Amino acid sequence: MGNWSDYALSDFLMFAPDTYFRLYERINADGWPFALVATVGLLIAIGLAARQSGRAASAIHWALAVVWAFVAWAFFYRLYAPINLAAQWFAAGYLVEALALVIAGWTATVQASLRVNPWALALLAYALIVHPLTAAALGRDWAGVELFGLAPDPTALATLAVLLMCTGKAVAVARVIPLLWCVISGLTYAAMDLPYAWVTPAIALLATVGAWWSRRRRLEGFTQ
Amino acid sequence: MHRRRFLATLGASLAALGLPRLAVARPQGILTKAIPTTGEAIPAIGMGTWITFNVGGDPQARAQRVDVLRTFFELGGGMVDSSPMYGSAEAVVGHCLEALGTPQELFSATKVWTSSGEDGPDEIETSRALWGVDRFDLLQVHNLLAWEDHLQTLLEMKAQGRLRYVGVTTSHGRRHGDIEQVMRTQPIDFVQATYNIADREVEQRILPLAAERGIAFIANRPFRRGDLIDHVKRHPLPPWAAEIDCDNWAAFLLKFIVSHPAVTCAIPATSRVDHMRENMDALRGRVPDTAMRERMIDYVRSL
Repeated sequence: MGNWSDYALSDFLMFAPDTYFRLYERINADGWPFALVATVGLLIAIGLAARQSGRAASAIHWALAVVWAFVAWAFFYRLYAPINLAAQWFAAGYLVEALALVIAGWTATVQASLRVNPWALALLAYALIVHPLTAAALGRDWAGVELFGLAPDPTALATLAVLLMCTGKAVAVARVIPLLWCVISGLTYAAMDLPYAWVTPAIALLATVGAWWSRRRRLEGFTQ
Repeated sequence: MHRRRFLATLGASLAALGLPRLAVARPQGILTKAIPTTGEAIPAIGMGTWITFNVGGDPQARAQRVDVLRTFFELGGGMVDSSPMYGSAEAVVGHCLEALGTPQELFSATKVWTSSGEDGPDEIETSRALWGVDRFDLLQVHNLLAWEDHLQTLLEMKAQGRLRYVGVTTSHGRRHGDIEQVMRTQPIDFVQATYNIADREVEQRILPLAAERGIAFIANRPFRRGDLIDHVKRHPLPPWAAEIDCDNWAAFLLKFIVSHPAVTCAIPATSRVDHMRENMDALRGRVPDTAMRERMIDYVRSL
C-alpha cells in the first residue's frame, strides 16, 4: 500500500455523500415507528428514574441496550455494510455497547437530581430535537432526518446524555463507545468534506467535559 | 484541419512511430483506440465505478445507475471498470447489466484485490457471479497487491481461454517504480494509472514505456475524483475549445487525456446521466494535436 502518509482522509471514502444520506431516508421509511416509541419511552423512563432512581435507571440502560442492538442490525449491518467495508465493525461496536449497557444497568443509579447536570440535559435535548432539525436546516431532505433509535449519531448522543446523568461502576466504561462513535462520525463527515463535520464530536466532548466539571464542583461542595 | 483528415493523419503518424494507433473506422465516428497486443479497438472513453456505483441495495439509486449505464452504451461506451474493493459496485454493475440485457458492446474489466494469492480465484469467481458474465475481458491486479501470485493466476486463466486480457493498476501516482518493473518484465496487456491534465507524471516514463512495450494504458482519476472538474467549472471554457469540438469541461479534460498517443482509454465515473452525456462527448469530434494539448495545459494551469 506504500506510505500511509501519502493518503488523504478522503481516499478512504468509498461512497458519495448522497448515498450515505439516503441510508437515513431508507431507515426512516422502514422503521420510523420504532424511533417514535424509543424517543417517548426514553423520556418517560428518564422522568420515572428521576423520582425513583435505582430500578428505573437499570431499566433505562437495558432499554438502551435494545436500541443499540437494533441500530447495529437495522442500520449498520443491513444498510451501511454493503457500501462501507468498515460498517460491519461499527455494527460489532454497537453490539458491544449494547452488552456494556446491560452490564451498566446492574449498577446504575440516577444522580440525586437531574437539575445538577444541565450539560447532560442539554445534550439530550440536542440529540432528540436539535440534531434532526440541524440536518434538515443544512439542506438535507426531511425524509432523511436522523432520529434517535434509528440513526447512530442521535442514538449515541442521547445514550451519552443518559450515561452522564447516571452513576455506577460500569457506567463510565459504557460512555467510551458512544464518544468513540461520535468521533468516527465526525471523521466520516470530514472525509465527505462537509463543513459541519466537527459538530457531533465537539458537542459530545463538550457535554462530557461539562458534566464531569459540574459533578466535580458538586462533590467539592459536599466536602467543604 | 478537417476532423477526418486530422484523425487519419494522426493515425498514420502514430503508426509510423510504432505507437498505439487511433482506430477511427467505427461507422458512428466514435473515437476508438487499439489494444496493442491484439489490435482490438475499444471506445476511448470507458466508465469507472469507484464511489458512484457503490449504492448497496438502494432500489432508487440502482434504477438511476441503470439509466447511467444505458446512456453510456447508447453513446458508444464499452469498457466498464470496477473492483472488489469498491463495496457493492460490482453487484450494482451486475444488476444494471441484467436490467439492460448485458449489451454486446460491454468490455468487462475488474480487478483482483486480496493480499493472499490463494484467495484470488475465489474472489474472481465471486466477481464474475456478481457481474453475471461468462468471463471477464480484463482482470487487473489492484494496486499491485500480491501481484506476483495474482499475475500467475491471471496469466493461467488467459492461457486457458477464461480471460482475454491481463493488467495491473495503481492510482494517486503511487508505486510507479513497481509498475515500471512489472511492465518491463511481465507479459501484461494493460496498465492502469492516474492521468489527467493536472497529474501528468506518467508522461515521463509510464506512457513511453507502455508505447514501447505495446501495453494498453487506462487513465484513472481523469477528474481527480471531481476536484479538478469542480475547479475548472468555476471558469469559462475557452472559446478555442470549439476547435476541438468541445462545448463542456468534461469533454475538454477527457479529450486531453485520450489524445495522448499511448493512452487507450479514460474511465471517468459519474452517477448522473447528464454528466455521462458530457463525458461521452469526448468520443466525438476533433482530437487535440500536440500544439493544442500544450494550449490546454497552459489554460488550465492559469485558472
